[in-house]
Amino acid sequence: MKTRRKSALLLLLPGFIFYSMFVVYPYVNSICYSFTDWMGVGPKKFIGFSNYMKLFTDPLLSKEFWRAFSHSTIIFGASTIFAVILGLALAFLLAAPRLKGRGFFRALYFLPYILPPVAYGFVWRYILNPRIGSLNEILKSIGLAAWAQPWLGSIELALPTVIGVWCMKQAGLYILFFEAGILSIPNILRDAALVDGCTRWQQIWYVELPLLKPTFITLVMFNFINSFGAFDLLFALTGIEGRPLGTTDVLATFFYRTAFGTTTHPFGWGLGMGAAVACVVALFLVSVSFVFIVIRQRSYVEY
Amino acid sequence: MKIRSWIFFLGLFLALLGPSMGWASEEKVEIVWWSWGKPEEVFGGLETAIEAAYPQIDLVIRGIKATEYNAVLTAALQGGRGPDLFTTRINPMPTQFAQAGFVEPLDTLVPILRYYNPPALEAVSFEGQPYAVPSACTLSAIFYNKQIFEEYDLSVPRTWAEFIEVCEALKGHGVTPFSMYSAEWAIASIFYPVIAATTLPESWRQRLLKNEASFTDPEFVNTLQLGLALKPYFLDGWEGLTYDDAVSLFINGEAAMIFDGCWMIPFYRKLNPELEFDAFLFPPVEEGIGPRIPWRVDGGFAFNAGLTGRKREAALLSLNFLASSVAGEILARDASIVTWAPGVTGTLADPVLQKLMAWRNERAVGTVVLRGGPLDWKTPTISSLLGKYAMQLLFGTITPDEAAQQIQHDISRQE
Repeated sequence: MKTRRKSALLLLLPGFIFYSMFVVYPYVNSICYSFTDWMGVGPKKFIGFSNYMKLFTDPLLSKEFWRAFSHSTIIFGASTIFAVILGLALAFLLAAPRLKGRGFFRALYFLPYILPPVAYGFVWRYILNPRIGSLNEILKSIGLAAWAQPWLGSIELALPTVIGVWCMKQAGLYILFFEAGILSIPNILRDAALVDGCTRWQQIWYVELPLLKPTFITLVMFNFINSFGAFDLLFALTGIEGRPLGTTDVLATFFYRTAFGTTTHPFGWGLGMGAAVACVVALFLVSVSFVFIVIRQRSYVEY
Repeated sequence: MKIRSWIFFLGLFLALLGPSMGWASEEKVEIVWWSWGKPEEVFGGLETAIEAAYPQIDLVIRGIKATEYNAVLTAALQGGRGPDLFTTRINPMPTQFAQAGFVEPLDTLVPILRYYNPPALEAVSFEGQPYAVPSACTLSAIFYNKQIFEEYDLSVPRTWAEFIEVCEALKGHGVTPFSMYSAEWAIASIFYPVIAATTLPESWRQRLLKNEASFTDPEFVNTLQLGLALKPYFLDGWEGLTYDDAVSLFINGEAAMIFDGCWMIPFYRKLNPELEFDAFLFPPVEEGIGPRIPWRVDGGFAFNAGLTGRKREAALLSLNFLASSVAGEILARDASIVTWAPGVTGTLADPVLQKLMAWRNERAVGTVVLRGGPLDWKTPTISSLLGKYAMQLLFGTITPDEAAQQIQHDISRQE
């Protein structure tokens, strides 16, 4: 027994070392930087919790932080509805028995997810271009010129447009997971419900959905982490400043600007402040993820 | 046989010995030069000239995306793997690098700097010493499509009233007057500096830097208002256009004018050789006041203070070349970049650039208070504030007075 434990620990050691070097060490380093006044070059000056205080009290910084936080929350909320819940609905359709072309539809829904986010974002940026983009051209050609908009340039439309592109990309993964979950439910349970006189809707509501609850909560948590960490797609669509006028600014782009600056604001607010932002966001994500895990643990259903 | 063997071994011995006695040609020193954008295209002529002047130098130029350049360069220098030569931004970057020991003072290492424009040197100095060679003097103006102007018999406006007449005439003929971008950096670096060059008096600029004037003064509010007054003449859907989009649309003749900078001249020529364009300065509201051209230092050339031996020598040779008027002529000819080197005439440069250079000599603003000036060396920078609030102004969410008040409020908290 002791030998087996020793062997197990030995086998885990390389992964642990790798994890410590590339995950734990940067995290700890980042936490240390957050207590310093450091612009990325030169000596670091220890300033305690000043960066954290400044993040929540400086009018400029705190306003941008809460704006980015609210946008990330909106993206999470909207994608939970349009990617996760809608994904669940599409998964039920996809899992229908004797569905012709299942493989084709599965590939079609999953394709946006496997495309690199930056490439996907840049392609959509050109599709949504108000002058030369194909979306506006199509709308004009079918007599809907009044619907042609500067999609990524309008204060009202930019964030919903970004959410739409985001959901289209993410939905494929959730559909796949849900479909796998649905197909893994033993048919005997559906048959038992059928024998008891349940309609198809009642089967779904009373039998399949409760069994899918853990999967649902896991994917909502996954969506939560993804939404609050969204960077590459948004950077490709609207740039590091969250154009226009910061209406598409999210926590990740806010962090990047704070830590690394922009063309007109080189060095930003410094790496120390950037690290503080990263720590606050990480703490928030870990806390909420923990709640999701607890809910998930309590959501298992057995028949 | 014995003699032949002796001859062979003697020859081999001399061939092996030769290089250590300098008989073989000296090995080239590779000098790696980083800059933002596509410097391989922009500085290609310089690379050829430096390697021709100094055959022992092998110059390797690497371009990094402009939005990532600061972070990539800083991380590389911090990690001890920085390039030998690099283009820096203006302050605070040279100051930060000087304090970190990444760069050295150049007043004795690059003697020609003593003939450089003092305000230009200030932008790359720390404690009165230059740590980089000011690289580019960016000049901006209003570029216009000559073919469109000739087609509708329009002439370059000399006053604000004539300017509006031209815009109205273009609109009346179904031509969009301005190709416009929704990019904060371009609003702060090009659009408003071009307007402010003419509209902000020199006396106000100097008082501003002494804290005797404020951004809420009528001079500045009026400048913001004039930019807003041009909004009806912007391209449809401009809110969704990046700077590159707007430039492409101007090059393709979809708009008659664009606020742009001299660095774009080679791209206009390359992307549409049939485009006939010229430039004019923002016309004054009152007659009798001459229009002016804004200028700013766009960065500097510096060398890595960690270099030693032949690499250091080669880097310094390259840097001195870059600071010379020869390099200035090459940059003017190839990249429409105006440098600060004394004696650069630009006779081989594009005719439009020659015009801008002549304006720089005759009609440049005296004191830079917007992009590139002293107010851009602290956080928050004036260009970040101007870009942010001017964009809100152009989007119609705030008034010129509110924009001015916000800028003044935030700039007073610079640190």
